[in-house]
Amino acid sequence: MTRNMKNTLLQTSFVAVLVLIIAGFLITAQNNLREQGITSGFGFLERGTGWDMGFTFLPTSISDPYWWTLLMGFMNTVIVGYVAMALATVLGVVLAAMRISGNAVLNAVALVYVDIIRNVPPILQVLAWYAAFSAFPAPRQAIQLGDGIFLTARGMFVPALNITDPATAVVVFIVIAVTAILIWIGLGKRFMFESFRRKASLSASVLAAALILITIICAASRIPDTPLLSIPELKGFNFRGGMSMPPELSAILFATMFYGAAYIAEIVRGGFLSVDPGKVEAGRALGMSGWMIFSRIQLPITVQNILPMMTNLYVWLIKATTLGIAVGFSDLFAVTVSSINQSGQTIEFILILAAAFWLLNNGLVWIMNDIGTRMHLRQAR
Amino acid sequence: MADVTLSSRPKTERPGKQTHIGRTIAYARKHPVLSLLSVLVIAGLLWIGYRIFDWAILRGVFYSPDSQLCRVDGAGACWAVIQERWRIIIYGLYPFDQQWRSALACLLIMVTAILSCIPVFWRFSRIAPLWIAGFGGFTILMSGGIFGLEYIPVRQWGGLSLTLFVFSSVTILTMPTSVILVLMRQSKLPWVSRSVQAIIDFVRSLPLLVVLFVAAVVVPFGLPDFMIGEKLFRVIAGFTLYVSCYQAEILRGGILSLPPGQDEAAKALGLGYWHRVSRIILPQAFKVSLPSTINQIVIIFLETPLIVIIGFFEVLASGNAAFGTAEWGIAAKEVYIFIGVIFFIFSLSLSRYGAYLEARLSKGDRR
Repeated sequence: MTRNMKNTLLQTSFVAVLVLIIAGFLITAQNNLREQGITSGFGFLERGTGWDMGFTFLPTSISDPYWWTLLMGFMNTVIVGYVAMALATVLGVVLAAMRISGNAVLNAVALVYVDIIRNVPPILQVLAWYAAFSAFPAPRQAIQLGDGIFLTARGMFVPALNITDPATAVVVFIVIAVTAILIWIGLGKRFMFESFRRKASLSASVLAAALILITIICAASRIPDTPLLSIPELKGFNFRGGMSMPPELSAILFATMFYGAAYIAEIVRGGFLSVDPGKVEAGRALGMSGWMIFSRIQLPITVQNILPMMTNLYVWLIKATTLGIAVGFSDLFAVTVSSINQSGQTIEFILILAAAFWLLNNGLVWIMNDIGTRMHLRQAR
Repeated sequence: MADVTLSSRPKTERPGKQTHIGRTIAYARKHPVLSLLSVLVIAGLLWIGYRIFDWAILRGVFYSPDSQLCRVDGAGACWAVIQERWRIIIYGLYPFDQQWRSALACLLIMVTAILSCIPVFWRFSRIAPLWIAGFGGFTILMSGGIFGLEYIPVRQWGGLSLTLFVFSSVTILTMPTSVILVLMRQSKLPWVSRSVQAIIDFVRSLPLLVVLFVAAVVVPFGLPDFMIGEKLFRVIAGFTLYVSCYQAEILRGGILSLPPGQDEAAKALGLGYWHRVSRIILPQAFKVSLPSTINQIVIIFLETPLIVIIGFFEVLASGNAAFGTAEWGIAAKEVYIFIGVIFFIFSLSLSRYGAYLEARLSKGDRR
């Protein structure tokens, strides 16, 4: 009884101290900010920002309200983060294959790459990429790759769709989300007794329908009397048309991708080498071919081995996009910092930022865990 | 044992001794595509290697006090910038006539780090005094104010010594904080363990830059005036909190990997909580998690330059200052390479040491 009371007392006082510290911090902060003439609350989100935010995927202007600016920053973080993740995974798997290929030359190349990238500070890599992308010639002497890609000091110009209406982007995003959810559900537990072939053909037809729908939407909502695809061309001192990827976007994307790939290579290699050789020998004893052993034994076990570490790495990569502030890329963090400087709503912006990152990380962890359980399911059957 | 497995395998493939060339030819016959690829890769590497060698060494400019030689057509790497401006890169804004102190302090902390890699020091009673002496000496040398050394405020610290200061203070502070966190996390009291887990998860979901920014800019709003203190120390505190949350999870993994019998046996012997934790649980958990801990230390080292973004004059900022003049504006690459090489050497030796330790530990387990 006394022990129980002691425990209860200890716990209550511990939680009470925590709550007191947080509450004291928030109240002091509010008082201090009020002295500077800043009222708390989230009403400021409707106010115009008065500053331009640099590169965004949807159009922005200096009269946009704060919530739109924050949303665009969030979108920059999400898109750059996920694209970097996908590219880093591809490159990382290639590097891992080089490491375990048994070929001394390929192994050495991959090893040197991994060692250099993993032992140089990431922020230095971002700065180095930025310097490299800013060192391209002026638009008039642009380096041309293929038909429509131009490398210049003002950014990389690539062909894009002739669409400026934000509503189109929203509609396309909804179509993509619905397609992803449909396929996700279709491959899930509920339909586990359907045959794989049926599930695959259903998924493929949903995907095809979505693609056709997106094409129709894009074609219908393009700027009237223009071709669907806009190709950049030199007009005066700069390029017109197409989409420009400014050096800061390329720098953060490349740095995150190359840095992530080095880590993914080591994770994949470790996971592959930790596959129990007995299982491979068992497969060989059953007369499986090399490809069968790889695709039915080594690959699934490797993927299961590496999933937790890949989750951590992906979370890390999303967070690494904040380094963009060093080169002036307006990700969520950079936008928040400028907003705090301009409006003084310090606490509110930090809360929004923390909530956004919490959401991003937990969403990612949830997706990866779901993939993990689905793989276990397939293994159990 | 080994003989049995060897002799049980039919030896059909290797009739006699093979020379190195013979094996290479056999490999090329077996994997023609891979071999062609390796030849191409070797050729490409040779070409790139030659281009770099040509730029860095053959056409490199090693001495040119006014940078004029670097501007000549066909000049390669401008290493003269290092020759002329290394003081600002390494020492930052530290007063010129006192820079020997900064150099000595850096040397001291490096010696301390190297000493603590030697197994003789791997006991708490030896490693703690070593680091207190090394770090205390570093701080006294850098800040002065006693022993007749001129007092130099933290605001004037800069360059490599500032980076090393932040790195070593975060590393030293992380060890006790993470132990406290993990003990509270593993506590039998549900509310203590839950709230600590919530804090750890929350901090881990934030990017380091956000934590540093909050420590530098936001925290002063919420503290009474007497607690605000120097910005550098707030940032070190925030950095420590961030790393401690990761380190606590590493230690927790170590604790969970111990067989439960260890704790139960200690309980059966009648040992108290502190005895069990300090003599049975933590030493073994530390040993298991040593490789990940060293990995974590490497990550602290590589993340330290991030403080440049919240306005500290550490080695990246002083590097920017080194090529930030009209004279040396052309030599940004060389300065970045110089700084990168410094970090690379430190970090690679640390991670190689970690790999060596891991191999050594797993060998010890097998015995």
